[in-house]
Parts: sequence; C-alpha cells; structure tokens
Amino acid sequence: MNNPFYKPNDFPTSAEKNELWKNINHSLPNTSKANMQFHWKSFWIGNAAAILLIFASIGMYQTGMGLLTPTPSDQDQVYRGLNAATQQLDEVAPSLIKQAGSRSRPSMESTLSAIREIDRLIAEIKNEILVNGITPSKKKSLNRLYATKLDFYKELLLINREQS
Amino acid sequence: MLSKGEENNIITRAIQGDQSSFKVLYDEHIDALFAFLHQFSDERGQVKDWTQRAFMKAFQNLHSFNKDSRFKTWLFSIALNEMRMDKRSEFHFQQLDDADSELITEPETEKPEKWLKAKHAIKQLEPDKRIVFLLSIAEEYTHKEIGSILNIPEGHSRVILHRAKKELQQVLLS
Repeated sequence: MNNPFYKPNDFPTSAEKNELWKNINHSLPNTSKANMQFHWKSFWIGNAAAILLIFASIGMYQTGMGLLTPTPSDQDQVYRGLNAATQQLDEVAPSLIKQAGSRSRPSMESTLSAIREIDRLIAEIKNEILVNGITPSKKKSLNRLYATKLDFYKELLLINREQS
Repeated sequence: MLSKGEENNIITRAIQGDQSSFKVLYDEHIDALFAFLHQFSDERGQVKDWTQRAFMKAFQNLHSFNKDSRFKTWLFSIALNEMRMDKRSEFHFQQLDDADSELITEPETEKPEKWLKAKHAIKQLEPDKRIVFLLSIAEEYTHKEIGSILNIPEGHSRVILHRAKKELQQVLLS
C-alpha cells in the first residue's frame, strides 16, 4: 500500500519504473556477463601466449640458422614467419583493448600506436631490402624492430592480465 | 513486504550473482524511495536521477551492506547523500547544543496519521526539518536510525522533528 503522506503523483509510473530498471540493470555488477567475458579474456590471452611461443621458437630457429650462416631465402622464410605471427597478434590487440578497463585503456591504446609506428618502419626497411638487397645492418634493424614489437605486445598482455 | 530474513536471503543471492534478486529488491523499494525523494524536488527528471544513482550505488556495493540493518535504511541513506550532494547549498543541519535535545520531553506515542492533515504543508518546511519529519513520521524511522542516515546525533533529530511539528501545528491551527 502506498504511503498516505505522499500524493499519487509522487510515485513513479510503470513506464518510469521500467525505464529506471533498464538503466540500473545495465550497471549491475557483471556476474554471469563477467564470467563470459572472463572466458573470452582467457581465450585471447591463451591465443596471444601461443603466438609468443611461436616467436620464441622462431627466435631459437633464427639463432640456430644464424650459426649456419643463413642464405637469403632462409632469411626470407624467417621474416615471413614473423609476419604471419605478428599479423595474428595484430588481430588480438583490438580485442584486448576493448576488454580493458577505462583506467588501463589509454595506456594500451598508446602502446598500440607505438606498434603501428614500428609496423611502418618495418615496411620501410622491407621496401629498401626489396629495392637494394639485404645488408647486415638492415637485417639487424629489422630484427630489433620485431623484438621491440614483441616487447610492446608483451606489455599489452601484462596490462590486460593485471586488470583482469 | 519482505521480512528481514527473506530480504537477507535475496541480498545473499544477489551478491552471489543472481540477477533476478536485484529486481526483487528494486521492486520492493522503488515506490517508497521515489515518492520520498519527490518531496525534495518537483522536477521529475531530477528525482529519477537520484533514484537511479541510489540503486546503482547500493547494488554495486551490496557486498558491503551490513545485514544487521535494514536494506531500506541503507538505500535511503545513499539516496539522501546523492540528493544532498546536488543540493549542497540548500541542506544545512543547524548546529545544535546537546542541551537543546534535553528540552524535548514530549511523549513520542502520537499516531503519525495526525499529521496527514498537514501533508500539503510538508513541502514548505525547510529541507532539514522536512527530511527529519518525513523520515520519522512518514517512513517511521527511529531517531537512532535517522541519526545514522543523516550522520547527526540522535538528539538533534529529536530537536529538528520537534521544531518541524511546531511549524506544522501552526499551519493546522490557522
């Protein structure tokens, strides 16, 4: 029964109650929704971790091949592998940022911009290699850029894990 | 109306993630909270905003709710905080001496219905008197509960209520 101290129009209408509930329900602590998101997060982190393992394997492979003085075609194969793997990380990054909390999102977005800048430099060196051929210094620069890119991805993953 | 035990069970289920329990709590308290807040603003949008903020804060912090107290008391104190934040300039609780509260000797056995005749004048009361009067007479909170909701000494609640009644009495006599 409504409180007699208040007038009938002091009470909310059904439409107002529904509207308010819709907004409140939207902000409810994510319970079942949170679990779902958590699994997706694990999925992406797992994926990214797998890709990092591929990188580690490529690194070992590259070191091994380095000892045997790689031919240009071997080197080419390594970069193709690196490209394929980083491409998968590129696909994961936006999802990681999308799931990030508002506090860590700006930092993740700036890390992603840095990765995009590295991509631009990698593309430049590759063009240079295509036109004028590979040299030890170009190879060194390219390797450094891939390593830095990996470091940045590691940073993205760590930020994501800390806030999950 | 839910019993204290039923309400506590619902709160436990809500904390555990049962979404439908939040809706039960909402349905139980929305009318009372909205109508109460409407006594402090004629702008419906403003009242909706306070109500929404109060429920959101209460639900988001449900794990910190002390189940020894009533959920409604907790919800009202959150709502009043939200409202007082927005109306900072209007809501001042006068500084009172404890001696003032000792002067209040009237018995608290009167029936709240007595004041129904003066309900049209409640909105004319100053905000602090209106809050205490409504919490005490319309919502039937004890002075101890009012003190904890408004963060004022229990005795001050008595003094403010006494003054509010005095003003309304004059309205009834005129």
